[in-house]
Amino acid sequence: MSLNSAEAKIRTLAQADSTMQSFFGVAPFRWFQVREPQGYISQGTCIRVRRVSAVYDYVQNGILQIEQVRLQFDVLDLSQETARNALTAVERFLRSVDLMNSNQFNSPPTAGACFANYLLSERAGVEPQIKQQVYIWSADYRIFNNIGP
Amino acid sequence: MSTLAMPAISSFNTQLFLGGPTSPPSYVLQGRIGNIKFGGVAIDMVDVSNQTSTAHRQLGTLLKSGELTFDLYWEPASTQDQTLFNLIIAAPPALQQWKVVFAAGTDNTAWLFNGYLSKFPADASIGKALMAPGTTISIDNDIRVVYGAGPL
Repeated sequence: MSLNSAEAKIRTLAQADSTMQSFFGVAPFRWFQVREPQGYISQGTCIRVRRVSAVYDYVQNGILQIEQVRLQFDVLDLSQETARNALTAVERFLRSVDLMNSNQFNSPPTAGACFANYLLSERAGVEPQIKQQVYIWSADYRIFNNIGP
Repeated sequence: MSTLAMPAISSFNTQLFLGGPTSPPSYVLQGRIGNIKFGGVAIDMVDVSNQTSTAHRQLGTLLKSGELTFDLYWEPASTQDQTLFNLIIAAPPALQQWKVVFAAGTDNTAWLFNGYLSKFPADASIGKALMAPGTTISIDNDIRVVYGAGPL
């Protein structure tokens, strides 16, 4: 995963967000890519981010720097209501995420300017495990990401 | 070992240039452009069937160069796109010189023509890239061709 992937950029911003820290911890920050490692669910709410697909736009001489990535955010917790609340917080957080310019990644960071993150759908589920069942609240997003240098 | 003939040429890197209204033209490559299409380069046909015809008889008359359309990934504040949009809102509209180079780097055949930028359909649909899809050049008179080297 490149440093400027949408997944890595969102995690970087989430890690510095106090609300996200209150749900997913600080050390470790339980925000995982693709799979959730064993043993973390007992420590508290976890989130798993998966790339479902991505759309790229082309012009006559090549690819544009804009990537429309579809991400699935799965919030996992032993309490379905806690998972639901955490997902609501993630959705609120994503309204402040700007992957179209580098403002929020500068040193010092400045305010974002273009929050082109679209919530597509939401659903609830459960993941059966041997000793317990884990509740999941999922959100699908279409997120515009600048993949330029 | 023999090699197969190239079955087709990719449209990749087909280029549109704006040459301006004055002679000699100063061609500027237009960026962020996709789906260049010449729709309707055709000859007007007249049906000249008569009483002794046993089938339809056709007579070709005037070349109608038609329109060139392209999709522009629009950046309203960029110099290039300001220039393009200003062509639309200028009164009276000025005839411009244009050039299209097909598959630059592979074929390089160029079509040169004059035309008016006649449609600029700006589109800011939710959840999409900012675009002007189907931006149109209405071609005046004929098209001159400079053939390239062909498949390299």
